[in-house]
Amino acid sequence: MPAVLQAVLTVLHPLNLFLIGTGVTAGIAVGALPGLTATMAIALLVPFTFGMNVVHALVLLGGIYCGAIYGGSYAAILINTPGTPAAIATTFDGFALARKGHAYRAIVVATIASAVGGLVGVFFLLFLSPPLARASLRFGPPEFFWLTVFGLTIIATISPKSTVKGLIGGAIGLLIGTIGISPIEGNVRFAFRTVALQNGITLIPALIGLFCVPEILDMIASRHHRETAIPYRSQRHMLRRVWRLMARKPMLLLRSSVIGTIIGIVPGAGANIAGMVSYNEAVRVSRQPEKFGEGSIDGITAAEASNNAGVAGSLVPLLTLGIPGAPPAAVLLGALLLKGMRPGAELFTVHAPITYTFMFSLVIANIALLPLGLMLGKAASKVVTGLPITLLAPLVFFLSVIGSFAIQNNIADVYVMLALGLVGYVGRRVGLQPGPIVLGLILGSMCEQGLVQSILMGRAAGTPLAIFFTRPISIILIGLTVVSAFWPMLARMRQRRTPAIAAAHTHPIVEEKRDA
Amino acid sequence: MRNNRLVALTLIAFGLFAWLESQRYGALSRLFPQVVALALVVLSLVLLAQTFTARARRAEAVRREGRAEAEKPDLRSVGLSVLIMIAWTLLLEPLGFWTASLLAFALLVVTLRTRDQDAAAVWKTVLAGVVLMTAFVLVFRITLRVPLPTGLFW
Repeated sequence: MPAVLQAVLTVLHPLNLFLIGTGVTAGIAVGALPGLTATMAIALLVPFTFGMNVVHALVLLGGIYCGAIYGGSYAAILINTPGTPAAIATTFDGFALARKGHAYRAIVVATIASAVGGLVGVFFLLFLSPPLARASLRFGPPEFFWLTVFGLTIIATISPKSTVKGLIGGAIGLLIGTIGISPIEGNVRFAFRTVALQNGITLIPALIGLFCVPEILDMIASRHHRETAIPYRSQRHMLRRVWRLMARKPMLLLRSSVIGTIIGIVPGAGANIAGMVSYNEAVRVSRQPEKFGEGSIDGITAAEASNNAGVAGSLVPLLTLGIPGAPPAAVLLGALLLKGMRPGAELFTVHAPITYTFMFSLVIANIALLPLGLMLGKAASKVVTGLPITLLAPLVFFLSVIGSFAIQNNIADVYVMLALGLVGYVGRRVGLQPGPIVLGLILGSMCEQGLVQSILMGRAAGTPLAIFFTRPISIILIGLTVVSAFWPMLARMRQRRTPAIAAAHTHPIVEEKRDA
Repeated sequence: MRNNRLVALTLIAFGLFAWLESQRYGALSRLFPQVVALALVVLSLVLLAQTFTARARRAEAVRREGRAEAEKPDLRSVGLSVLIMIAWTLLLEPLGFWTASLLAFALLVVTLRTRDQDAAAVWKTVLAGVVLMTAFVLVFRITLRVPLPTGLFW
């Protein structure tokens, strides 16, 4: 208890509060730029902490991590390009809402959801770290395989117009993900003697290309019919109005945050997958699933609460076992080791005051997201929505080029970004949306590794396929996969049978419009 | 409907190519790509089959009606912009990041000028772009220490 009390007092020191605020602001700024991930934000800013003492360094880095994951929502909402991969699910409804002139409202929803999600995640981190970390260690290759299959079932949710086209998009993404060196045998696949392809397709340039370039070309194609990319409408008391709407569905916030924390804890899954799984669950449970993808507040809430809860989740296995739950947590591990702190029991005994200070600093960082996020969000939405398309389209392409290059200082990544962008544009024109392709690309390598390693394990045990269906966590994941895959179909059938019930449940946005 | 048939046939060809190409790799390296290629072919066949149903014909009629009413997209500008974007990326190394970006940016702004933009408005947009791009290049080069290609110029 004294360690906890000491930690609270240390966090509240003015210098630490200042460092947390600086970290959150810097994180938001980096995360908001397409192509600059939370991992990069922390990696770029770690050198600035070399001269600091361990507490100052950790509270600053924690603030950057929280800010960067949240900052990704700005680009997702304003230009339909996730600033960080964790914000992919935010594009589905965030940009749709922005297009209707409610960019700032979408940012307010994202801010509140991120802050609440982050706080729930920290609660888990503080009180449930050791047992949750032990549970995550039970994940072996078969569990990872089924986790990715479960993740892929989200395609059925995010492609309501044509599930077949969504699944085709997912398969294309999975195939693109196989380019490069195979994970088990080391064969170079689908590189066609091109050096640039031998290391595979880097996720971030691919993501920028698939989301950003089609959007730029769409802006260009329709620029004579719309003056700015998205209209901006100012509304009074936005925070209060949005909070009232969100407070009507506390379970959505809580469920998304818990999903985000749990997925964040599973090593390798991270906030990227958390946002999408949580979005899928929100659609599945919703009484009005057809509203998702058209600017639903619930969609933004689910995605943002979950990815920010994943931040604290990814720190659970890091602090207790030394296993980073996500790539940004891996960079944090490096920073911890640099400061002479070894993850494990020692962190909670010898270094307990420092560890708890770090955990409590995340509470402050998530609270700080509210004022800082709302302030920066208002400015960002005003600036972006005020730009004419003749300036915005080339500028977004410039940011795409610089973001793709900066990932690994490789010009080939810029070519990949443009090539996939053009594929994405053609795909969009024929009904293949970028969401499922990106989902396939993200989950592909983990899925393949899980599949092949499980088969090898099965062969060693003499039962190559039984290993997929006999482990308890696998069985739970198979059940979730089946439910998730068929739920949209069942929901549609149920709706067709009882249209009156569907009409009776009013969506918050519609309700608010009626009130106005 | 015709679009979907073309998409399905292209993807079937793509899936078969991926399947055949995978044959050259080791057993464990080809397993996953072949499973996915097979799935792609099967799904594309389902898409192809869907184009022959009565429901698809009705949807196509609705789509055509909608397309006739909607304003036509400016595909000529899209084509020109794509060419400029390709040139932009190819010139980054020979000319330098800042110079290539500046030239391509100005060219894009001129290509995209709308009916109500006079020469002064175009110049203003180019100037705003130059200032913003220079600021970003400086932040990346100096603060974030990203070695952007310098090429012949900068």
